Amino acid sequence: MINFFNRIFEWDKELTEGEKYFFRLIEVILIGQIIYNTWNWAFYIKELTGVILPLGLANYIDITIFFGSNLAILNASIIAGLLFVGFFRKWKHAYLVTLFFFHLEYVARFSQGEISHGTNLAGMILLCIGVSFSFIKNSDHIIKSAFGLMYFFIGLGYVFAACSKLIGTGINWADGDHLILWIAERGTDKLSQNGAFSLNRLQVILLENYWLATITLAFGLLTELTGFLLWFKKTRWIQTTILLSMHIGIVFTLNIYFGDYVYLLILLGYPWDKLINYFIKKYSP
Amino acid sequence: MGIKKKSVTILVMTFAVYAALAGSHKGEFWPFSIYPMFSKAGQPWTRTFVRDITKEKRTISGDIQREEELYGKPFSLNEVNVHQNDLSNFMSKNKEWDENKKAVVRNYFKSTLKNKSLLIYKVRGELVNSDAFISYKPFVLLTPDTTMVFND
Repeated sequence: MINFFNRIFEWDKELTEGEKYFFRLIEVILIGQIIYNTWNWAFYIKELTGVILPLGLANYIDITIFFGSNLAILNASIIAGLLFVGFFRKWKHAYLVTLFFFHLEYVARFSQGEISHGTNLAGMILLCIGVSFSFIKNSDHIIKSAFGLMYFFIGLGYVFAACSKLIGTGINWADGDHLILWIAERGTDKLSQNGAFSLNRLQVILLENYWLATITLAFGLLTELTGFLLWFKKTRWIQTTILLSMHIGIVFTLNIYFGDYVYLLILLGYPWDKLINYFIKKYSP
Repeated sequence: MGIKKKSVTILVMTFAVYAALAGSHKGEFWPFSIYPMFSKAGQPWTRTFVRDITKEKRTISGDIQREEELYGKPFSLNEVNVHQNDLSNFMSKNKEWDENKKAVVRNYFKSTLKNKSLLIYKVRGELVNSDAFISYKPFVLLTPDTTMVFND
């Protein structure tokens, strides 16, 4: 067990300069995503009038106070301010407190029905970083803790996704017929959103070839099931590459694009710290 | 603090904050989501779409239709800056349609209802003989001055 934790968190390894800059880069991208989304949501929330799906804190707080007022805009401003406080290391609890306000904005925006997995990941990463800053003193260990938690939860998320399919449907989840039904469902969504929809070439091929649809689903299931390979440095970039190919496949087969999610996955899944170290070495006097 | 203790502590802290904020997300919170759209494969689904029926000559009824019988012409939700998931879920998860609920639906389309009549369909898909069979049920009629719900 100690070996397992050590492989995820790497407590005993010295942190490189590249890893420190890499962590700052993750913070910048995360802050950008959160500010972009919360401001977009703020103006959407203002136009809402009713709650259909109370999520999280919305079960205990009347979030309709956000509707028809400027409260969501005020909340987005608080979030942006706190993120900058966290980034410039002015208050160690800033990120964790931001999570509370981010969560409020999130439950107000998604009170209408479905949720967003992309911004869920942003929330999860904010949680990992926030907990690390709030509960760990050593500055190098804060970064190691944040990285370890991020990889652990992202890997776990994929494994859970595969398990939910195996529990909900069973091994025949990969039956190609199921893809036919999902393509029709997503086609209806696209038609509704854009006023028009037509099948792309890949969708036509999949609808005509049951065996190919089955292989496509089986590949997706297997890819998610091996999501735990993100936990380990040696297999992380390979698993990230396979996951990215799965997400690209989902874009073309189901017209589902997890933009925010994919950007964070690209950032976290590859050893950018080594590239940074290379440049530091090359250009340092 | 030892490696194991530090690791366990930080994981427990993360789970605790997570549970406090997201424990009541009804299965819809990453990474522990039940992924409702994909976990139960092959199940019938219900979504919605909207048709512009301003120039429709036929009398609107709530009878189930085939694709070639649909009233009016397609209406894009982008025109009113509403997300499809929001409208679709609002339609499918609402069981009782009081005046407040009708007002919420009208509010989605408030910028366009001054000079248009819209019809929201419930669209149902199911697997029949390895093919997707889709049926269309007129559900909410929105005219400039009235809102009518065709109950299931």
